[in-house]
Amino acid sequence: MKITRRLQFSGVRLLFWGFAVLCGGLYLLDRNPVTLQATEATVSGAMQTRAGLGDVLVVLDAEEMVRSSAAGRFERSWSWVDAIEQEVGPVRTAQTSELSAKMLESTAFVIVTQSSNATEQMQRHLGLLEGFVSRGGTLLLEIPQGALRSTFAADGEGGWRSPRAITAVDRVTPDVAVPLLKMPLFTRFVGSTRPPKDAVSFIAMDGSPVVYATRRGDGAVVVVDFDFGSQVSALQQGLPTSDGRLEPRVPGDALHTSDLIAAPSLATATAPYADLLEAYIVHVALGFASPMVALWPFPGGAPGALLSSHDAVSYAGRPLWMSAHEKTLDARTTTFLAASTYPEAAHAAVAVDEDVAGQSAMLWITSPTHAAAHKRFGFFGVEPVQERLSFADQLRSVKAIVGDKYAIRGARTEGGSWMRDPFAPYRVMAAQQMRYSVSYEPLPSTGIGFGFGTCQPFTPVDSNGLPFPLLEVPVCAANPSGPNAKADLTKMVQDAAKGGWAVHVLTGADRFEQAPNMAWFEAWQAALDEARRQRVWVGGAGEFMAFRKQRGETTLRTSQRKVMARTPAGQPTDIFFVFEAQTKRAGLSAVFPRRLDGLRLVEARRAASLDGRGERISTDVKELNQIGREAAMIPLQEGFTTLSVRYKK
Amino acid sequence: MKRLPLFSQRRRFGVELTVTVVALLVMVAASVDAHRFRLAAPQDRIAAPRGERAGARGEVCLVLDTQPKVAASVEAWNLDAQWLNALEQEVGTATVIHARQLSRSAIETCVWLLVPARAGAAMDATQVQFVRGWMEDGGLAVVELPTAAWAESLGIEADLTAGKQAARMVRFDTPAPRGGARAEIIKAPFSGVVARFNPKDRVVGRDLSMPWETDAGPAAAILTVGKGKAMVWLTDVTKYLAMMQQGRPEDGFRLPQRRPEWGRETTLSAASVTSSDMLDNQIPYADLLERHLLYLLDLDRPIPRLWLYPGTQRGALIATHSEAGDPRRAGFFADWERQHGLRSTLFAAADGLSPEELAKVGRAKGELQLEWVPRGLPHPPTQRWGIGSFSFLERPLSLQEQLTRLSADALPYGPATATRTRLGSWPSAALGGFDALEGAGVAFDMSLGPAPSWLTNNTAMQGYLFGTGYPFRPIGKDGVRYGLTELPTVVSDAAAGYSLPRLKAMMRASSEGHHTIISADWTAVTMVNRPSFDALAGWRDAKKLAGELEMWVTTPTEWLAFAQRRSRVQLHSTFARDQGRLVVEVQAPTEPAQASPQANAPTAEAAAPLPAVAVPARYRGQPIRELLVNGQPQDLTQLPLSGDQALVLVPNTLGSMRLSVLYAQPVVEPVPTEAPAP
Repeated sequence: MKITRRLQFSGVRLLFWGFAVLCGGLYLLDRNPVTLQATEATVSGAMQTRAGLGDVLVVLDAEEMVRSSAAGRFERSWSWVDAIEQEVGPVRTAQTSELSAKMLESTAFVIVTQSSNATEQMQRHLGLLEGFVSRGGTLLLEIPQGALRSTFAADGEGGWRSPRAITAVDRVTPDVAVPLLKMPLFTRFVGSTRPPKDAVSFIAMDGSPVVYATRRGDGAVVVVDFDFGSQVSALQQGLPTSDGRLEPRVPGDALHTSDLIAAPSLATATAPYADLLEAYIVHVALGFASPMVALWPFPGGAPGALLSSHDAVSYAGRPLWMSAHEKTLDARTTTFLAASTYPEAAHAAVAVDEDVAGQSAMLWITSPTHAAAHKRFGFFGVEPVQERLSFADQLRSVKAIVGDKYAIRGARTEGGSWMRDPFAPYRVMAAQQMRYSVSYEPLPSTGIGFGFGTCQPFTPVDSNGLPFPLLEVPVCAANPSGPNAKADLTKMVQDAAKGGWAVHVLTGADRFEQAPNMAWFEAWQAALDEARRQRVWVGGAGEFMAFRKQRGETTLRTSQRKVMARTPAGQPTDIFFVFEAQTKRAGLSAVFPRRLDGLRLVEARRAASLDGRGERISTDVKELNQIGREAAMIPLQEGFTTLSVRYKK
Repeated sequence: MKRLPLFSQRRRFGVELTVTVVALLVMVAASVDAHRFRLAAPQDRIAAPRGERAGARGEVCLVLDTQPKVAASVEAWNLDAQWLNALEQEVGTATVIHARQLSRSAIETCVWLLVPARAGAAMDATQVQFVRGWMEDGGLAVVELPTAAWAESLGIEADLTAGKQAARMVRFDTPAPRGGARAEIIKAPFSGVVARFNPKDRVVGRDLSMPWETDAGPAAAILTVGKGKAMVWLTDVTKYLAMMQQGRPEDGFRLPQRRPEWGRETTLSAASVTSSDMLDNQIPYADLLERHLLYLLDLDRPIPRLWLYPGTQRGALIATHSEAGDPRRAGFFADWERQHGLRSTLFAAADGLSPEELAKVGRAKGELQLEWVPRGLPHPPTQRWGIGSFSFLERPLSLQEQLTRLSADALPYGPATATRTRLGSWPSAALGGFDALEGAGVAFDMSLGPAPSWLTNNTAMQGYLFGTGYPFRPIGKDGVRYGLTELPTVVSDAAAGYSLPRLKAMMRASSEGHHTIISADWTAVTMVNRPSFDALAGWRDAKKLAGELEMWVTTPTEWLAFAQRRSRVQLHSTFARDQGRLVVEVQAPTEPAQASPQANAPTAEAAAPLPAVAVPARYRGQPIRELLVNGQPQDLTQLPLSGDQALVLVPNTLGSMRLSVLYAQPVVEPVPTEAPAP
């Protein structure tokens, strides 16, 4: 009996404490629920083709890219396509196997990338390329091999080397040369015992010429003997660790896109190294013998661009207010909006400004504590389990908030957060048909700087170097704060106007929710004011992408090239070019270099006759500085235009 | 009796029992704290309007029926004291004459005599004849809605009962040479009966002019009476102006309900505007109409005035911040303003900012005033009772208690003497707000004005909702003015329609013509609820712009001190018509007044600057030829003019001075003599 009572007593006690522990446990779990990960749909990078009607053909080899990456090499040949799209506009791509004589007939510049050069098949195209050059074409070879090297390039006897620094940059003014000399290197080059005969050197690394050119007949060959693709990609897309994973700069911190910045010295860079290198290689090296006619990268011939993006997690006020203000300045900027637990209230907050603001895009919440990014499960008000909402679920929520009238084409990770697999976010975004991302941003501690070498869009590639079907538009000033924010932003916009760059500023639209902060406010306003003063184009990432797309679809190519006079040695002293341009969009301008290897631009006409008939367009020719050289800008009209230009000694 | 084992083992369950009891107690306490019982708020102490200060004298006399009589209806409401507001604003001081005590000797020293409708009706035929005689000797009187006795005396017919309903003004001929007043005044929403007017044998251009007309006939006529003049108002201008300024109540002196969730006792102050057109209005109609009606009198006898602001400042800016129920964000403004050498007024709720935070605002030289939370609004400041941090009982604070608590918390800064209601609210009893404020001893109120956009369904509400941009003393049901001063708020960044260009336009218009106080509120929660570029930029730039526009950046306390000093400056003028010479004696007191509603008012008044003296820039169309200050000729090109160029401003740096103004004589056209016959 006593034993039974004792058992009864212990049982009751057990029940009591069990219940107490259960209540306590549920309370704690309700506060800190168990999180189930979402299943995300993903797609990998894949080779893309470009069929732009321009003068530049880029030859790549997708199979070699995959093979090379599998062998542990950092294969980034796609960077050439990006560089031409940014610096010129229209570009055509071809696989090594597709290269043909017919293809070369309508091309003035051919770039044979490292991936293509590494193939056996490319060696068989030697005759084709020689014929192309002899007809006056310009051939650029990135790290040529075999017969191509022996025919066109230095001997390469020095083998692969890791450079410490760029030691010489020729043919540009110091404002371009000095930043290039300071640029950190993440590439390797092929050393040679001697340069080719009559070679013109452009860039030297550790004293060795790595970019040089030779004239061959009326054509020219430019050799880039360093891994240009890797250098540009490392700058723009960043460098994960050697095992391909991303580690936080400060152990224990959450992963942030700034952890991808390739070198600490880049974090506070004041010049966009990647942009400068691309522009130099395209305009100075590739265009040294033939004019590299380009479409100016900014709308309306503006000297630079200020891209303004905003994000808002909270819907307490007017999440689109900053965009709405910028719209009054004729700027269609982008605001990234998060999913909400109260979509109806969020929709009402957005609807206030939707018709008077710019574009809306999606803010991808990755934080484990944000309620709107999770679905809770439980009973009687206790919810101990939560499931993270997938990107697709969050996108649905944002679409419901924004409404059917507006498409969501861009995304940004909340606070610039990133993942251990640095390619994973792009796989997820691409699977949901996002066309651009604005996730890359400077170190949160500095908030400002060209950490990724550019503020212009670039195509991220996967581990095989194959491009994702979206672009990343890095931010170079994220929520700038501190006493110098206003001055720093003003200077950035001034530099952008001077150097022909873009500056991308991100400002939190809900940042003022806690208390208005005049330092933040004035920094944002200073950037806009300076942009107006400098006549810099202001818009959002989405708007800029749309411009870039139409620019890429514009026709701009050489239809005629005629040497009118030569020196006794056969060197052209008077060359006449006819260019065809066709565009559906207003605000595009063609840019011609003022000087061309000893020749000078003497006239430009809207006509195609050799006798000098046609409308002289010197009145609307605008002089500008293009990568440290004089250039002439001619606005294009919608529709078809023929331009004839003449270079003379 | 057999016990259950559980209870028989009570001692052995001691820990479990204690845990259970404590848990239950905590749960019960938390539940009661969350649903604490609320007692009804005590009634606010109310006080009757204070009336007028004895002994105030000026050259302009105003006849008032000063027998306090509480109006039974809005229709019967005596608002004649509105002209005291208008004269104090536009002229500086006035002499009140009791209608029943009016005699010829009482008006002998008056330069102008204003007889509003109710006062005129209270006068008997003999008194009317006194005025008639005074006019014949050169006096200048204004008679509103003349009764039969007045009409007969003036030789006209003016019958209100046979009048027509006017829907708009069609013409107003102001003598001011510049500015858009002619066009602006007639845009005012107007509705009222205009008396049928028969000038009998008077002829326009000879002894009659009609400077103000409505679509139902003339609203004002100027008659020649002997050597003097009479201006007759044929519509109830006084009521029109008074109701525009302090709001038009419905029958029973109640305001329409706009926020049912606040209960029957509270609505929005904007519910009392006279017309929905006034909700978004950039023109201070009441100020302009008062000013330009008085300019008409200058045509016959120019008088000196005390300028509206210290020195020759062209307007004023009172920048304020309302806590709006979110104290966490309120301190920011003061911080930034301190860093930039600026200051403003923070309307803080009684239970919002902590004493430390209030002291921070005080140290930043910001002025601390009360954000009054009237009955019915959610989250009012309360008095709580309980144990430790648990409270079981609470009671909303009355206005007096709110004021006392804030003043105590703000020590050593304060005390709070000015108020603004939270979120543009106002007691539904139209005069209940003024009664309560008077009862609590509040000296200055800024509650009338726009309400936040989220309470008005985004209806645009900006500008002179109450037709004025100058402080006035509201009038009670008994026709007597309250002691407190009301300044309607004209700009609020929380209200729909706010924009930086509009703010700048209003400030420019104030400096260049309206000469109003731009009372602008930048609410602490705007950047949460309705963030906008214009809100922050407006707040940041307004004070700089005010400086550029020569506007006085001030606070309610400072303004009261200035008004006190201005009201004690005496002006006395003589005018020789034949010479066109106006001589003005200015007497400014050197000692501050002793009786004051504010503890530190005498000191503040002594430090308050003096206003300039304004004299009409023209007489009978001719400009000033010579202006002497204490015998010293002044360079007329250096003296500033009012925006409408009707007044020349003479800075008063001396306190007491003598001005001698000589107007040019009209050029008399030679009468052509008949040519001799060839």
